[in-house]
Amino acid sequence: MKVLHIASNTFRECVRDKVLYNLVIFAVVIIVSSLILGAITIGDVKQIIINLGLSTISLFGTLIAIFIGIQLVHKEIDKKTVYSLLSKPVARHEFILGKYLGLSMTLAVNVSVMILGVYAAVLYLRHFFQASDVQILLAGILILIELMLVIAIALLFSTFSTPALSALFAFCLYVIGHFNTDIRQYGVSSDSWVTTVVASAMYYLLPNFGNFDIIARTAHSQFISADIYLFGAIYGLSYSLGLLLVAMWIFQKRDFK
Amino acid sequence: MNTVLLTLLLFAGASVYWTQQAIDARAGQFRSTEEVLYVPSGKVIKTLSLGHNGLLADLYWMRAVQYYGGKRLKNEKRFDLLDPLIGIATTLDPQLIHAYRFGAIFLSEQSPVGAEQPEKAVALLKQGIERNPDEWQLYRDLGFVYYWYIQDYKKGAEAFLQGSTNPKSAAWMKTFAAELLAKGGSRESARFLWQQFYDTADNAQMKRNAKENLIRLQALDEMDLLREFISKVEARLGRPVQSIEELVKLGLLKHHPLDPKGFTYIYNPQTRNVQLSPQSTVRRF
Amino acid sequence: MPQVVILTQGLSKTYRTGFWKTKPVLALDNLNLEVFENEIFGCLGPNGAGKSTTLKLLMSLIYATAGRAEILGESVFNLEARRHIGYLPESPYFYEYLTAEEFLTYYGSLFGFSRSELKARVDHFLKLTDVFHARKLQLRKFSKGMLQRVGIAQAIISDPKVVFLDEPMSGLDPIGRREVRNLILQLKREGKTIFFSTHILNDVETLCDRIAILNRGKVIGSGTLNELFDQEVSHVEVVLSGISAEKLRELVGPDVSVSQSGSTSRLELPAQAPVSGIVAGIEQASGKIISINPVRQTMEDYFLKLVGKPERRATPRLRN
Repeated sequence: MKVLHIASNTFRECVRDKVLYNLVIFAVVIIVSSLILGAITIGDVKQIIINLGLSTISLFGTLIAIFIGIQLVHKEIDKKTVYSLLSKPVARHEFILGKYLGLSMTLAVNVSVMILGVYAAVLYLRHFFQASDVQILLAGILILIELMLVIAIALLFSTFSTPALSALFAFCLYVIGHFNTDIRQYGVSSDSWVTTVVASAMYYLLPNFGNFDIIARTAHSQFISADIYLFGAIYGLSYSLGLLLVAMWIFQKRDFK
Repeated sequence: MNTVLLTLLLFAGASVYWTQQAIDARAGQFRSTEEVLYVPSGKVIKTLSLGHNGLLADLYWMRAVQYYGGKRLKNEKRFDLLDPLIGIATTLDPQLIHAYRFGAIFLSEQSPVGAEQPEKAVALLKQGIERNPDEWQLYRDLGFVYYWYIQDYKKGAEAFLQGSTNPKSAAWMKTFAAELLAKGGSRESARFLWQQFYDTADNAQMKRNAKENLIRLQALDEMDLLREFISKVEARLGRPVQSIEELVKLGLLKHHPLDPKGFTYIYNPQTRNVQLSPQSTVRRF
Repeated sequence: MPQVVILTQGLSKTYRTGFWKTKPVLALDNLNLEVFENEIFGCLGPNGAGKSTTLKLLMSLIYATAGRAEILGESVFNLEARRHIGYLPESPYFYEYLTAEEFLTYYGSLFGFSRSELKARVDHFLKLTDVFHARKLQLRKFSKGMLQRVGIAQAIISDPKVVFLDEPMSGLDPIGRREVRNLILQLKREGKTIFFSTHILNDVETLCDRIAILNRGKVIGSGTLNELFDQEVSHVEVVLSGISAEKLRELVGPDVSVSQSGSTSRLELPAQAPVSGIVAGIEQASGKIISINPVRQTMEDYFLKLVGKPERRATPRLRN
């Protein structure tokens, strides 16, 4: 219950954050301009709209997740609001959970709005929907889960590191996480068993963002089976849970000097 | 509190591991590589790479090699992605000579060794030549693809001739061009070229592939010899030979001849042809 | 027998500093404190003495390296016990994007009050701390004094039995200080126990029932003000003119301190000295008495004496 109160206050905090508005407006502009782009290119315009729209949601969502996520805990410690908050009957781990849910809810709202934007653009273009268009919504959900993983990464770093370093680490993990499959393949083909073991360990330990790659296929209206969504979602949520648990542990153990 | 946290953490970790395996099993190991089908073009990636094209070229080249040599699911026997991957790698780094060569061979080879797309190999090599006009070996590879895989001797000879105009080129380029035009090449020249490939291969798969082709040529030679021998025996005996065992029983052969991979040769009396054993792993194409 | 509301036994905190976290810094050493019900207890000391450390240990914001602490008979880690505790941190900064009303409602919601009760409480404490008129204003627009009062409001919103205030008067103008002082006295009238830390002696003198004095992480004195230092007259100050220094010295003898300033002389007579006799002698010698003042030892004197002694630096000071 208290977790929800902290979450809704975090939601309010995010909504009143100027950074959020700038990014969201920019994202909406890009989605709208995809329509203009579509008018001047030959080829499948619908594919461009979906591609551009989903990629924009993913990219800007990631930026929001990182830039607000790294502040979530650090700002409260830095400004010492955490002192008075933790003197209330609230457990430290409830605090972490509340902050996480608050930013996740914020991003859920943003993603929903932008997905509606994509649907609106498709409707404006084609004047009807196909059955395969439901995959746009499913893609949005999977992207949201991916973003929740990014938030968890940023939040974890926020519990013990400065914003600058947190942003750096989060960004690095995000980039490496997209090349995770390549790292593993390199290890598999290597002659040294040490390299193979290390590469495999990295493959499972590091976040594998390739598991969420469905934007291109969605844009091509290819059929994506349900278990891709299902397993991708479970992966994302499990990994986020793991990171949150570590964040809670770190937060529980530290002194607030 | 700590025990709860630890158990939950283990649970999360196990879930991560298990779902990752499930995703790998269903979507295949090359799903990240498959994205290459949806990328507009190598030029787009080059622009997006913000100057890191060398690094990305290596990445795509590595992916191409892994893609070719990696363990595959049942539905991954084809090599549809090989051409786009190498295409992007060479667009990002036009001087990736070994990529052109690798692509030429494995795009041309028949399934299950290659993609069976020799026309794509030709297109790739022509691009390579355009970007690297001084690389005479690309002409050699182009001529070879025309000769060995497409069996267009005229175009093959043209390529060898063009390559021979480069002063750095090997001397035999011109002679081989002439031989191609005259009698459609010879096994000797083929062996020579495959030996070249074997010697200059910088890649285990290329080496292995060249070796397989050399072995095949050796088997063809041995089969020719056997055929000749059988004809001579039939002339002497005055009757047709039924099988190779007969020759061994008659003491004409010390033991049953084996192909380079250790399988027995078989004689078919109806077609009067020496063949490879059905179990033999020597390449048949 | 009055109830012990706050109890510490052997409470100690050592920080590890340095690059490799190996250098130990003793912030608090073996604190043994008892605070009784409905008293105003002051924790006094210079900067770096360990006052904030003590408060943070009591609020379980930091973990003790030794000893234990209890509030209202429960361990400081007990979540439910926090319903009865209020805390105002030092120089607080609150969420500047929230209005005062939103802020108090948010904090209040963590206690699980019903919506109507929460609203009633928020309004009540906004009025009590005189910020009701600014309740719809974002906290970023609040003055320091108003922020401090909002801070006290959030500390007492659950009507706690014990209130902890860390340097509640810091940075306030005289009006602000008076307002806070009145609030503290009001809380005492309501039966609450107040524990506050400060380095301002005047606050302690006017408010506290009992105090503890900290220096360099150790308690160097505790008890009521009366117990701690003698408020008896320490000496008598006589200001006069018209007598030369030598004559004066003859009159009073060698034990008295004599100082000259222009045409006036100043004498410091010990409390038990024959004041009237000396005064008569001065007048007889045609001297003019300007003033006679009995001087009591002030808290400041006592404090500086206790704390101002140059000690060997055994351990480095820690910033509060």
